[in-house]
Amino acid sequence: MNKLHLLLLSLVAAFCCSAATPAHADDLPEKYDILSAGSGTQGTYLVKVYVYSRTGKVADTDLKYAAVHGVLFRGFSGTQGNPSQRPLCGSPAVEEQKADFFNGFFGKEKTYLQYAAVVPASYERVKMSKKGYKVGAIVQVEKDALRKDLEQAGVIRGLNSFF
Amino acid sequence: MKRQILILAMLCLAALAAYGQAKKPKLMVVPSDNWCQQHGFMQTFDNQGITENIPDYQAALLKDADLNNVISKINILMADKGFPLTDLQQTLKSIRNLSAEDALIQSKSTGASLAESPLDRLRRTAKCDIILELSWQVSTIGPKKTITYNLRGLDAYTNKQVAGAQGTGAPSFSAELSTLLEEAVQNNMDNFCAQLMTHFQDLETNGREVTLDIKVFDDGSGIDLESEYGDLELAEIIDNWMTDNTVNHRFNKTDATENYILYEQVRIPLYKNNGNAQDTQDFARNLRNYLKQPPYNIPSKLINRGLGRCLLVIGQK
Repeated sequence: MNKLHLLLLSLVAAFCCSAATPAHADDLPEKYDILSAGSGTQGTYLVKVYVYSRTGKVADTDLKYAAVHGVLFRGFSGTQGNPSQRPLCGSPAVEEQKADFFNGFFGKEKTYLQYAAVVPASYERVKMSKKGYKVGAIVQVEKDALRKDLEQAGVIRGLNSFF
Repeated sequence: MKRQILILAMLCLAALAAYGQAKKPKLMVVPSDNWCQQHGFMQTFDNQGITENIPDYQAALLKDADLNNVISKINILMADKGFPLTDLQQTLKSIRNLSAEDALIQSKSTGASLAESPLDRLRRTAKCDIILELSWQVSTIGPKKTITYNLRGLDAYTNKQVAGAQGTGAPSFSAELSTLLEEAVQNNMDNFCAQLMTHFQDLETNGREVTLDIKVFDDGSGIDLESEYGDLELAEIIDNWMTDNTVNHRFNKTDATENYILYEQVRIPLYKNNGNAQDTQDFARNLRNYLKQPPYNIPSKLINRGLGRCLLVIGQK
């Protein structure tokens, strides 16, 4: 009987903890999709991102994270007339190689937020069979500003750095 | 004393800034021959019975506003990435102005004009190290217009395509040609620069890829590339020098006779032993100095053909 009480108590505690902290507060989305959403203005990318969620609730910060992270490490595939783009950092390995920088960038400092803006009225929610939802939006990423700041921080190299 | 230390420190800083700066290649956007042909910007001339066409960049830049806009947009985007390009129109203008000035320069005492060989005159053209060759095509399907855009980065010395961006933009019912072109440039420039970056990384790791021509003066001295020095022919001596002085001994002897050798895909270090930047002329100068020394004692003439190509003519200056 004691064991059953203990099990129930631990289940209740676990549920309370997960309900108290929203997924986006500390945990950044691991699973997302990114693709081109058209031509942005000069110095920007316009991307469509989908973040997967069990509840169907995704914060703007998660969408922005997916957009900036995707532009930096994954690149994105093109849509009709819009070419695919390579990752700004060259390869996903850079995230680990420059972990000191990116821990702050995506972590406590949340610097990534200043390079992305969600386009209003572009939200979309798609129900995935039993696995939850994927929530999408169009995000504008300030890729030129992002690239320049990363070059200055020594995370990536500029064309001029070779000469 | 303090002033001396300050001057010394400033000199050290200047030396540090100069050290480790590889020679920067010159990039220039030019319309492709195909584009010039389609838009009627070709000059035709009779070359000893054979009709030849050469692109008339001057006319293209004067008459086609779209071309100017596209070149300007590419220049802006590249300057924004910290890599400003050499402008074709300005270069052509500058060549014309300098030629006119040179023709008028005279010595104050004797009235002598500037020395200029036929070779000097021939070489007074717009030159760059990487040519960004541009073309586009407008396709119309019913009311819809699409742009197929092509930008190729060609290494002027190895003739290799080192970067490229090609694609067809989204169809549009209403957008003007200039807007579609601007969009095409903007959409394709990042991928182009990423490939250019990969090329620069390759240069840094494996050395600059250059071409070296060796020829012989027909001066009756009897020296050619089959002349023997000890057990070795001159061509073998040069081969051995190339093996010792290229990065990872990488070069390709494409063709050779007793009168000439063509070395291609020669990987030369970006820096000299003293840390200063090195180009093909510096590299070939080392070979010239090596041949000038005993036991060979062969004088030779070095002709620079740009950052990545050089001609060494053996026999005399």
